[in-house]
Amino acid sequence: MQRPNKPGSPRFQKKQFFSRKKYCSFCKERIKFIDYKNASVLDKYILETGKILPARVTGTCNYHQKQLGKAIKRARHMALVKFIEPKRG
Amino acid sequence: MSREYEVGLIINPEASEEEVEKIKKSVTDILEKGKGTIDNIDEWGRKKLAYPIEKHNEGIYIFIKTFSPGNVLASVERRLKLSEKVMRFIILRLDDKLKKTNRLEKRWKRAEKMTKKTDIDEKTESKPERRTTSKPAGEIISKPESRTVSKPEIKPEIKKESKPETKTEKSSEIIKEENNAETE
Repeated sequence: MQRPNKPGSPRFQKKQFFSRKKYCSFCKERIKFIDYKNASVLDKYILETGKILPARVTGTCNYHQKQLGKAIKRARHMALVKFIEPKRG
Repeated sequence: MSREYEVGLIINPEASEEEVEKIKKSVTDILEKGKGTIDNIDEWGRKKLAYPIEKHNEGIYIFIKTFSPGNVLASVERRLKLSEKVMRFIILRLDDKLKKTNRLEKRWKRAEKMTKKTDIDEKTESKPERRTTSKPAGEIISKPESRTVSKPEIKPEIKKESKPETKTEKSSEIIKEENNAETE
Protein backbone atom coordinates (compact mmCIF):
# COMPACT_ATOMS: atom_id res chain seq x y z
CA MET A 1 0.00 0.00 0.00
CA GLN A 2 2.74 2.40 0.88
CA ARG A 3 4.21 3.10 -2.50
CA PRO A 4 5.78 6.49 -2.97
CA ASN A 5 3.34 8.82 -4.70
CA LYS A 6 4.38 10.35 -7.94
CA PRO A 7 3.97 14.07 -7.39
CA GLY A 8 1.41 15.91 -9.50
CA SER A 9 -0.51 12.93 -10.84
CA PRO A 10 -4.21 13.11 -9.90
CA ARG A 11 -5.00 9.85 -11.66
CA PHE A 12 -2.61 8.02 -9.39
CA GLN A 13 -4.41 9.36 -6.33
CA LYS A 14 -7.80 8.24 -7.63
CA LYS A 15 -6.48 4.73 -8.16
CA GLN A 16 -5.44 4.54 -4.53
CA PHE A 17 -8.92 5.36 -3.32
CA PHE A 18 -11.43 3.68 -5.64
CA SER A 19 -10.15 1.00 -7.99
CA ARG A 20 -9.57 -2.67 -7.41
CA LYS A 21 -6.71 -4.26 -9.30
CA LYS A 22 -7.82 -5.08 -12.84
CA TYR A 23 -7.11 -8.47 -14.37
CA CYS A 24 -7.55 -10.16 -17.73
CA SER A 25 -10.74 -12.23 -17.49
CA PHE A 26 -9.67 -14.40 -20.46
CA CYS A 27 -6.39 -15.31 -18.76
CA LYS A 28 -8.27 -16.18 -15.60
CA GLU A 29 -10.45 -18.69 -17.45
CA ARG A 30 -7.44 -19.92 -19.48
CA ILE A 31 -8.99 -19.20 -22.88
CA LYS A 32 -6.48 -19.62 -25.70
CA PHE A 33 -8.38 -17.92 -28.45
CA ILE A 34 -11.58 -15.94 -28.50
CA ASP A 35 -14.45 -17.18 -30.67
CA TYR A 36 -16.25 -14.54 -32.71
CA LYS A 37 -19.50 -16.53 -32.56
CA ASN A 38 -19.81 -16.02 -28.80
CA ALA A 39 -21.58 -12.66 -28.98
CA SER A 40 -22.60 -12.60 -25.32
CA VAL A 41 -18.92 -12.43 -24.28
CA LEU A 42 -18.03 -9.82 -26.89
CA ASP A 43 -20.90 -7.58 -25.76
CA LYS A 44 -19.13 -7.00 -22.43
CA TYR A 45 -16.23 -5.31 -24.23
CA ILE A 46 -18.41 -3.00 -26.35
CA LEU A 47 -20.04 0.32 -25.55
CA GLU A 48 -23.68 1.01 -26.33
CA THR A 49 -22.53 2.90 -29.39
CA GLY A 50 -20.64 -0.19 -30.60
CA LYS A 51 -17.14 1.05 -29.85
CA ILE A 52 -14.51 -1.42 -28.62
CA LEU A 53 -13.45 -0.65 -25.04
CA PRO A 54 -9.71 -0.01 -24.56
CA ALA A 55 -7.55 -2.42 -22.57
CA ARG A 56 -6.75 0.20 -19.96
CA VAL A 57 -10.46 0.28 -19.02
CA THR A 58 -11.19 -3.46 -19.07
CA GLY A 59 -7.76 -4.72 -17.93
CA THR A 60 -7.38 -7.39 -20.64
CA CYS A 61 -3.81 -8.37 -21.52
CA ASN A 62 -2.21 -7.40 -24.81
CA TYR A 63 -2.54 -10.86 -26.37
CA HIS A 64 -6.28 -11.12 -25.67
CA GLN A 65 -7.03 -7.49 -26.52
CA LYS A 66 -5.64 -8.07 -30.02
CA GLN A 67 -7.77 -11.17 -30.43
CA LEU A 68 -10.82 -9.41 -29.03
CA GLY A 69 -10.50 -6.67 -31.64
CA LYS A 70 -10.32 -9.23 -34.43
CA ALA A 71 -13.19 -11.28 -33.00
CA ILE A 72 -15.42 -8.21 -32.68
CA LYS A 73 -14.68 -7.16 -36.25
CA ARG A 74 -15.53 -10.66 -37.51
CA ALA A 75 -18.71 -10.67 -35.47
CA ARG A 76 -19.65 -7.32 -36.98
CA HIS A 77 -19.28 -8.78 -40.46
CA MET A 78 -21.58 -11.67 -39.51
CA ALA A 79 -24.17 -9.31 -37.94
CA LEU A 80 -23.69 -10.74 -34.43
CA VAL A 81 -22.44 -7.40 -33.07
CA LYS A 82 -23.46 -3.97 -34.28
CA PHE A 83 -21.27 -1.45 -36.02
CA ILE A 84 -20.55 1.96 -34.47
CA GLU A 85 -23.69 4.10 -34.34
CA PRO A 86 -23.70 7.84 -33.66
CA LYS A 87 -25.45 8.91 -30.45
CA ARG A 88 -29.03 10.08 -30.93
CA GLY A 89 -30.15 13.34 -29.35
CA MET B 1 -1.42 -29.24 -46.86
CA SER B 2 -4.69 -29.62 -45.24
CA ARG B 3 -5.72 -27.52 -42.32
CA GLU B 4 -8.65 -26.79 -40.06
CA TYR B 5 -11.09 -24.27 -41.44
CA GLU B 6 -14.46 -22.90 -40.50
CA VAL B 7 -17.10 -21.68 -42.94
CA GLY B 8 -19.90 -19.48 -41.66
CA LEU B 9 -23.01 -18.61 -43.66
CA ILE B 10 -25.97 -16.28 -43.30
CA ILE B 11 -28.77 -17.34 -45.63
CA ASN B 12 -31.71 -15.19 -46.68
CA PRO B 13 -34.70 -15.79 -44.34
CA GLU B 14 -37.08 -15.96 -47.30
CA ALA B 15 -35.35 -19.13 -48.54
CA SER B 16 -37.25 -22.40 -48.07
CA GLU B 17 -35.83 -25.34 -46.14
CA GLU B 18 -35.00 -27.16 -49.38
CA GLU B 19 -32.99 -24.24 -50.64
CA VAL B 20 -31.09 -24.04 -47.34
CA GLU B 21 -30.23 -27.74 -47.56
CA LYS B 22 -29.17 -27.29 -51.21
CA ILE B 23 -26.68 -24.62 -50.22
CA LYS B 24 -25.40 -26.75 -47.34
CA LYS B 25 -25.00 -29.77 -49.65
CA SER B 26 -23.23 -27.74 -52.32
CA VAL B 27 -20.61 -26.64 -49.77
CA THR B 28 -20.14 -30.07 -48.20
CA ASP B 29 -19.93 -31.77 -51.61
CA ILE B 30 -17.14 -29.46 -52.78
CA LEU B 31 -15.23 -30.10 -49.56
CA GLU B 32 -15.61 -33.88 -49.76
CA LYS B 33 -14.60 -33.96 -53.43
CA GLY B 34 -11.36 -32.16 -52.55
CA LYS B 35 -10.44 -34.89 -50.00
CA GLY B 36 -11.60 -32.81 -47.04
CA THR B 37 -13.42 -34.12 -43.98
CA ILE B 38 -16.42 -32.46 -42.34
CA ASP B 39 -15.97 -32.43 -38.57
CA ASN B 40 -19.02 -30.54 -37.39
CA ILE B 41 -22.07 -28.72 -38.74
CA ASP B 42 -23.56 -26.16 -36.37
CA GLU B 43 -27.02 -24.87 -37.31
CA TRP B 44 -28.41 -21.99 -35.31
CA GLY B 45 -31.58 -21.60 -37.36
CA ARG B 46 -33.31 -18.23 -37.62
CA LYS B 47 -31.67 -15.49 -35.59
CA LYS B 48 -32.15 -11.76 -35.29
CA LEU B 49 -29.40 -9.74 -36.94
CA ALA B 50 -27.60 -6.93 -35.13
CA TYR B 51 -28.35 -4.69 -38.12
CA PRO B 52 -30.46 -5.18 -41.27
CA ILE B 53 -28.76 -6.82 -44.28
CA GLU B 54 -30.43 -6.37 -47.66
CA LYS B 55 -33.50 -5.04 -45.75
CA HIS B 56 -33.89 -8.30 -43.78
CA ASN B 57 -33.89 -8.29 -39.97
CA GLU B 58 -33.44 -12.07 -39.66
CA GLY B 59 -31.02 -14.61 -41.04
CA ILE B 60 -30.41 -18.37 -41.07
CA TYR B 61 -27.00 -19.19 -39.56
CA ILE B 62 -24.92 -22.25 -40.47
CA PHE B 63 -21.32 -22.98 -39.41
CA ILE B 64 -19.30 -25.83 -40.94
CA LYS B 65 -15.96 -27.03 -39.54
CA THR B 66 -13.68 -28.89 -41.94
CA PHE B 67 -10.20 -30.34 -42.22
CA SER B 68 -9.29 -29.87 -45.87
CA PRO B 69 -6.66 -28.43 -48.27
CA GLY B 70 -6.75 -24.68 -48.86
CA ASN B 71 -7.35 -24.65 -52.61
CA VAL B 72 -10.70 -26.41 -52.05
CA LEU B 73 -11.86 -23.54 -49.88
CA ALA B 74 -11.09 -21.11 -52.69
CA SER B 75 -13.63 -22.94 -54.84
CA VAL B 76 -16.12 -22.86 -51.94
CA GLU B 77 -15.64 -19.11 -51.77
CA ARG B 78 -16.30 -18.79 -55.51
CA ARG B 79 -19.54 -20.78 -55.16
CA LEU B 80 -20.77 -18.74 -52.20
CA LYS B 81 -20.08 -15.46 -53.95
CA LEU B 82 -22.25 -16.50 -56.89
CA SER B 83 -25.21 -17.83 -54.91
CA GLU B 84 -27.91 -15.20 -54.39
CA LYS B 85 -29.51 -16.64 -51.24
CA VAL B 86 -26.31 -16.36 -49.22
CA MET B 87 -26.27 -12.86 -47.70
CA ARG B 88 -22.91 -13.09 -45.89
CA PHE B 89 -20.18 -15.67 -45.45
CA ILE B 90 -16.84 -16.00 -43.65
CA ILE B 91 -13.99 -18.50 -44.04
CA LEU B 92 -11.40 -18.76 -41.25
CA ARG B 93 -8.30 -20.84 -40.67
CA LEU B 94 -8.36 -22.11 -37.10
CA ASP B 95 -5.19 -24.06 -36.39
CA ASP B 96 -2.51 -21.39 -36.80
CA LYS B 97 -3.71 -19.43 -33.80
CA LEU B 98 -2.98 -22.33 -31.47
CA LYS B 99 0.75 -22.27 -32.28
CA LYS B 100 1.34 -18.87 -30.71
CA THR B 101 -0.04 -19.79 -27.29
CA ASN B 102 3.24 -21.15 -25.88
CA ARG B 103 4.04 -17.82 -24.26
CA LEU B 104 0.62 -17.67 -22.65
CA GLU B 105 1.01 -21.16 -21.21
CA LYS B 106 4.41 -20.22 -19.77
CA ARG B 107 2.93 -17.11 -18.18
CA TRP B 108 0.04 -19.10 -16.68
CA LYS B 109 2.45 -21.69 -15.26
CA ARG B 110 4.48 -18.92 -13.66
CA ALA B 111 1.32 -17.43 -12.18
CA GLU B 112 0.33 -20.82 -10.74
CA LYS B 113 3.75 -21.17 -9.11
CA MET B 114 3.40 -17.73 -7.56
CA THR B 115 -0.03 -18.53 -6.14
CA LYS B 116 1.29 -21.82 -4.70
CA LYS B 117 4.17 -19.99 -3.01
CA THR B 118 1.83 -17.48 -1.41
CA ASP B 119 -0.39 -20.30 -0.17
CA ILE B 120 2.59 -21.97 1.51
CA ASP B 121 3.55 -18.70 3.17
CA GLU B 122 0.04 -18.29 4.54
CA LYS B 123 0.02 -21.87 5.88
CA THR B 124 3.29 -21.48 7.80
CA GLU B 125 2.43 -19.23 10.69
CA SER B 126 5.95 -18.45 11.89
CA LYS B 127 6.98 -16.37 8.88
CA PRO B 128 4.27 -13.70 8.93
CA GLU B 129 4.86 -13.10 12.67
CA ARG B 130 8.44 -12.15 11.92
CA ARG B 131 7.24 -9.86 9.19
CA THR B 132 4.78 -8.14 11.51
CA THR B 133 7.55 -7.54 14.02
CA SER B 134 9.77 -6.07 11.36
CA LYS B 135 7.03 -4.03 9.67
CA PRO B 136 6.04 -1.41 12.26
CA ALA B 137 9.57 -0.06 12.45
CA GLY B 138 9.48 0.48 8.69
CA GLU B 139 6.04 2.04 8.94
CA ILE B 140 7.06 4.54 11.54
CA ILE B 141 9.90 5.68 9.36
CA SER B 142 7.86 5.81 6.18
CA LYS B 143 4.68 7.41 7.52
CA PRO B 144 5.86 10.97 8.10
CA GLU B 145 7.55 10.93 4.71
CA SER B 146 4.40 9.85 2.93
CA ARG B 147 2.37 12.53 4.70
CA THR B 148 4.71 15.28 3.76
CA VAL B 149 4.81 14.11 0.16
CA SER B 150 1.13 13.38 -0.35
CA LYS B 151 -0.53 16.39 1.22
CA PRO B 152 0.61 19.13 -1.15
CA GLU B 153 -0.79 17.05 -4.04
CA ILE B 154 -4.28 16.99 -2.58
CA LYS B 155 -4.28 20.76 -2.09
CA PRO B 156 -5.89 21.94 -5.33
CA GLU B 157 -8.61 19.24 -5.34
CA ILE B 158 -9.78 19.03 -1.74
CA LYS B 159 -9.99 22.24 0.27
CA LYS B 160 -11.00 20.77 3.64
CA GLU B 161 -7.88 18.70 4.07
CA SER B 162 -5.64 21.50 2.93
CA LYS B 163 -6.85 23.93 5.61
CA PRO B 164 -5.12 22.40 8.63
CA GLU B 165 -2.06 21.98 6.45
CA THR B 166 -1.93 25.66 5.66
CA LYS B 167 -2.24 26.36 9.35
CA THR B 168 0.74 24.11 10.08
CA GLU B 169 2.65 25.74 7.29
CA LYS B 170 1.75 29.17 8.65
CA SER B 171 2.82 28.13 12.11
CA SER B 172 6.06 26.78 10.67
CA GLU B 173 6.57 30.02 8.82
CA ILE B 174 5.92 31.97 11.97
CA ILE B 175 8.43 29.81 13.78
CA LYS B 176 10.92 30.38 11.01
CA GLU B 177 10.32 34.12 11.18
CA GLU B 178 10.79 34.02 14.93
CA ASN B 179 13.97 32.05 14.46
CA ASN B 180 15.16 34.57 11.93
CA ALA B 181 14.28 37.40 14.32
CA GLU B 182 16.20 35.66 17.05
CA THR B 183 19.21 35.18 14.83
CA GLU B 184 19.05 38.79 13.71
